Amino acid sequence: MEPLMQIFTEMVFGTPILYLLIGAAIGIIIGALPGLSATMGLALLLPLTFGMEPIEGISMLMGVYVGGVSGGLISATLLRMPGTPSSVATTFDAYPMAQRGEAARALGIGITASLIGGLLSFVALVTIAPMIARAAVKLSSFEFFSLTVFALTLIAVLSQGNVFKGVASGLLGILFACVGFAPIDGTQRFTFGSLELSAGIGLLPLIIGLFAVSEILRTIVKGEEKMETLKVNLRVRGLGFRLAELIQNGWNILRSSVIGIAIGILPGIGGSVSNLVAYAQAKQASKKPETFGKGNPEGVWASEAANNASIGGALIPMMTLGIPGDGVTAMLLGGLIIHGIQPGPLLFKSNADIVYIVYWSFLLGSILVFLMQIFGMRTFPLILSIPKRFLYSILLVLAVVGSYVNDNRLFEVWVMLFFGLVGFILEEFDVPLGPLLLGFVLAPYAEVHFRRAVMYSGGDLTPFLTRPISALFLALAVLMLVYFLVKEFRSRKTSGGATANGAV
Amino acid sequence: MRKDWWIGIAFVLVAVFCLWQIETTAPVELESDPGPLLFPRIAAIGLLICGLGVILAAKKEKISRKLFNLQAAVLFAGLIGYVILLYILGFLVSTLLFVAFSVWWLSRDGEKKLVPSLVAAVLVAGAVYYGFTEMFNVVLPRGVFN
Repeated sequence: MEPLMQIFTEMVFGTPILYLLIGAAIGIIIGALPGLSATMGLALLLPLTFGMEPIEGISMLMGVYVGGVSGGLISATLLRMPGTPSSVATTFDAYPMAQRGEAARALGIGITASLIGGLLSFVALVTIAPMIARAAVKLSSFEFFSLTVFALTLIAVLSQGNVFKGVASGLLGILFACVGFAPIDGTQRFTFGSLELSAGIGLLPLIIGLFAVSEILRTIVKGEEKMETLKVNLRVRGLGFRLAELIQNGWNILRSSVIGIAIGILPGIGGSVSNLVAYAQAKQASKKPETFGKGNPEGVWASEAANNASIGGALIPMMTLGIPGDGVTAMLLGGLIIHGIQPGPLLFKSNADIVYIVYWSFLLGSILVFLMQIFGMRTFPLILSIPKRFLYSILLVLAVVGSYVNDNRLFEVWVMLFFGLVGFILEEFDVPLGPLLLGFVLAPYAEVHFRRAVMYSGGDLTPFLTRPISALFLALAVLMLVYFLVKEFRSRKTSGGATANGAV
Repeated sequence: MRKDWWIGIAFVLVAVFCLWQIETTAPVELESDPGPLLFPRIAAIGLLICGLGVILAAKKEKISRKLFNLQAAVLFAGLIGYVILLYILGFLVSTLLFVAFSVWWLSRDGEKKLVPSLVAAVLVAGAVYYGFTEMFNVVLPRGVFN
């Protein structure tokens, strides 16, 4: 334990804490701005760390990573414009809370959930990292496909109250995900001969269009009274919630964090999926599922705990196996290699000090981000007091820039405008947008793993059922669907067929 | 016409269009590969079924308000114009013009004033341009000024 504490002392009483602080502050800003991701933040700051000591450089990069994931909460809550895909599910309930004057409370819940999710994933990272990482690499395409199917069944949960519309929304998401070159063979699908469409539809323009632009259009259509400046209640006690509420949400937070860690470990998925999955699970388990999407704090607890828990999850395979789980960890991996460190199974023996630096900078970074956001939770909502004519003009410019910088193509801005209209029409007809997003994000994984698995088995489908982990996920998917359908049928019977439009 | 019939019919039309597109696509065939059209086909058939489901389960409810709103439609047209201008005039000039127009247009009748709109345009365009290009090193469209 001595080197562990030595690194801690060196970090807290030396310059690394300052670099961590700077990195976290930059990360929060980057996370809050649509279009700028933690990956981009790391790419921008990586060259600055070349001349630093490894302990300083890694601290700064970790600060950007943690801050980047956490900052998305701010714009998701206040503007319904998730700064990062990790905060999409946060918009579902935090934004309605902000609209009824509870912006500071929603932010308080979000930042606390982020801290708890981060701390729990820190514990997972420190205690069970190598064991989990070794198990995760044994998963093949059979298991990955079955796991994705399990996650896709959550579309049904997000459709609660209106199954046909919700599932249709999820299927639309899958169809949008099919645009462009198909995986494996490169067949062009739904491209209509357009070179631009061959690259597929970007996630960020889709999110910005569906959630931010459509909301602006809807508010304008609703008429004059909705264009009034919002009254923001900044007088909240403490973090805006009571200890009893935290305890009540204990199981929700724990479950969401475990989901976040587990999804974070899996290569390529990460926070963009974990927040949606945790949200759907929270809705499934809630006593008031019909209030989800209308400002139920349980949704904010779930989403924000999960996305921050994914950070620790994603660090596990990066540290123990040298495999980056997503773009951000790939960039971080690059940063470690530049500083002369080779992550992988030998890292724990050859460079234990580096492992401790990552551990501590993750933990301290989570705490620093939490403290910075506490100061911000009473000032950020002031954005909402800007008159709508100015606020919407600024937001539309940010929506355009955010979509453009995603890929440096103006075509992405057209995509964003298209999804602005799609989102507007779907919401006007009470079609939930959450399932569309879940289908869009998960479909590529499901397809590529299904095709790989079937090709590997020579066209035989039975391994999906004979491999134990794959069979387990498929069984869970079936069980969840049956459970959902029974619950839905019962609630329709008791409510006389009345539908709840609280689905998101 | 019931409200849900509109969206149900839209789902059916999108599904039929997708199925037609799928049938006219020639995939690359690989051994034991279920092919690139399986997933979109399943999704399109599912969408067709859900669209029919929405139509059949539609409640007796009509569209409660006009979907067409002049203020929103003109703002959206302004956005389209803004994106076209980005190709020609680049970010700074296009954003100046768009923000000035948007602030002016979204102001209430009787409160539409040019000076606040122009001041807002200069501040927003300048701040966003400076922030993204200088602080975050992002290259924004330059149009003919490239």
